[in-house]
Amino acid sequence: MPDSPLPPIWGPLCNERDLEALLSGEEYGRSRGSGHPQDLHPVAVALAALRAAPMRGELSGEATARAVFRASASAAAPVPGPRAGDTERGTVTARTFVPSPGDRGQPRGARPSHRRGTRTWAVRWPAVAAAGAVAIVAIAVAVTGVLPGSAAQSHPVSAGTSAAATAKPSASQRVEGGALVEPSIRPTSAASPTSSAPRAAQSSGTLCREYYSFFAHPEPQASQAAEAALGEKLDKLAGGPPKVFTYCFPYLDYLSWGKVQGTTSAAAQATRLGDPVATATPDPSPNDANYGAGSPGAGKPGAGDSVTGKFGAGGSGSQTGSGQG
Amino acid sequence: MAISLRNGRLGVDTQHVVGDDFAAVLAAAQGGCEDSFAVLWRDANPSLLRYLRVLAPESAEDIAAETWVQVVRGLPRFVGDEASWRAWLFTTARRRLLDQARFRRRHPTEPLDDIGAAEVPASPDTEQLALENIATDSAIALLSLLPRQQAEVIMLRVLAGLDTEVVADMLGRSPGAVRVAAHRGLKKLEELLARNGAASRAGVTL
Repeated sequence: MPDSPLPPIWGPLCNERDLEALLSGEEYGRSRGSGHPQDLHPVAVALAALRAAPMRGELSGEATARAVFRASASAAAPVPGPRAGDTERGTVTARTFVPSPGDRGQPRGARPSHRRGTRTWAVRWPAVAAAGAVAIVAIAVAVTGVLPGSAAQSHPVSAGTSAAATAKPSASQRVEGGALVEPSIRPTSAASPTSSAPRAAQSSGTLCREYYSFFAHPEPQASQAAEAALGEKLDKLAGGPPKVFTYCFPYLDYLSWGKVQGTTSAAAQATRLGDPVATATPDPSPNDANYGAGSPGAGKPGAGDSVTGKFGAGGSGSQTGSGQG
Repeated sequence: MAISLRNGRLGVDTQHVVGDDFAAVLAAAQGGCEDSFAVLWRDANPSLLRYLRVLAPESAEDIAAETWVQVVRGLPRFVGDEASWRAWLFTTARRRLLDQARFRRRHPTEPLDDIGAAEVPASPDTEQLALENIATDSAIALLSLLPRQQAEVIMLRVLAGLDTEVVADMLGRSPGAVRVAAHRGLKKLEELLARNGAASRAGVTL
């Protein structure tokens, strides 16, 4: 029953019950006593005309409607199950996109959720793998504090960046061999060259490689002046002699030196460095105190200091750069 | 054309034709029985067309066809009685109607005023059809004169056989607002009939 009062538009002869009966097509009579008031009679006639039997034109589209229904029913017909040779992936796809006979008539919301999840995982697997790789690289950068060299590598080495480079082209070529390539990692400390100055980084790399080439391939006394000059430059760049190795470490491609020389053995590396004591020494670790800034044994290279502080492990070895030859 | 009085009720020709067999007919149609679907279609399509002719006279048939396509697609998932079925059908039609209105607003068309009446193709029995349908057509024409919302409420109540609460849900209004709109529409209809004597001119006899 209606629960709201009628707007005062009908007058006292008509109540809400009459109007509801008129709209819902309930009991209807011509007399006022048995049905609608006489005022509503024309309205009742019009509404009855609305409910009249179907007209001819209103049923003319039945053939089309049937055709639509047939097409829909045939499209929803069950498909045969997977063949014996189908792979598991093909089976999942078929069961995911084609409703099985048991699924017909079920609401979509009632379908098992694991199907949707399987499909989603299969589609998103490459994206997840890529995201994982990016996360690993980001963690590595955060831990080591350096960027992968692949982002900024292969800078051509300038031959005229320093006086030592000009004076010692042969030494530089020997140390680096054919690998005139920037190191794969770059320093990121405050004293290190920044990525905004590629030319400075290039010069730093050249300086570092040439400087440490003196230790790997001892030169005659005539080259000691150039070695000292390089050392001074690197002192300024690195912020002090104790920080030279840390500064230059990314440029030295230390771990690949053995490969550059055609061997990967520690003995060959030690020989190349000119330190016979370090023959059995394992590769240096960045955590070693001898490689850190301000290590007690780290002296100014090229000025009679021991190279142990830079390349030797555990303080072994006592040869100086100038004493080799 | 005379409107028959059946079972003590007037004007129930387009309502509840399926009746008690609705559940069985619906189940058969959902199972793919074309004849059962035809029963549902013959029951509902006249009311649907009349509803659409009031609200969108120029595209009623197109919207009805789109509505049935949607209904056929969703038929296997439908659950409910006959009242729910009609509510679902008219809700679908109303959404297609709104889509059509949006499309027409974005793509206005020029009326074909330069085509004379003699050039309009007509079926051989157009005149006979007009004579048969004059009462219903007059009623539809009268409803078309009402404000849109009042006309829609009356059509949903009268043609679809929906109660006030269902209509309120469809239109997104309160039941009281729907009730008031229906009553105002009926009053407006009564005034139109009284002013123009449309009932007698339409040839509606009881």
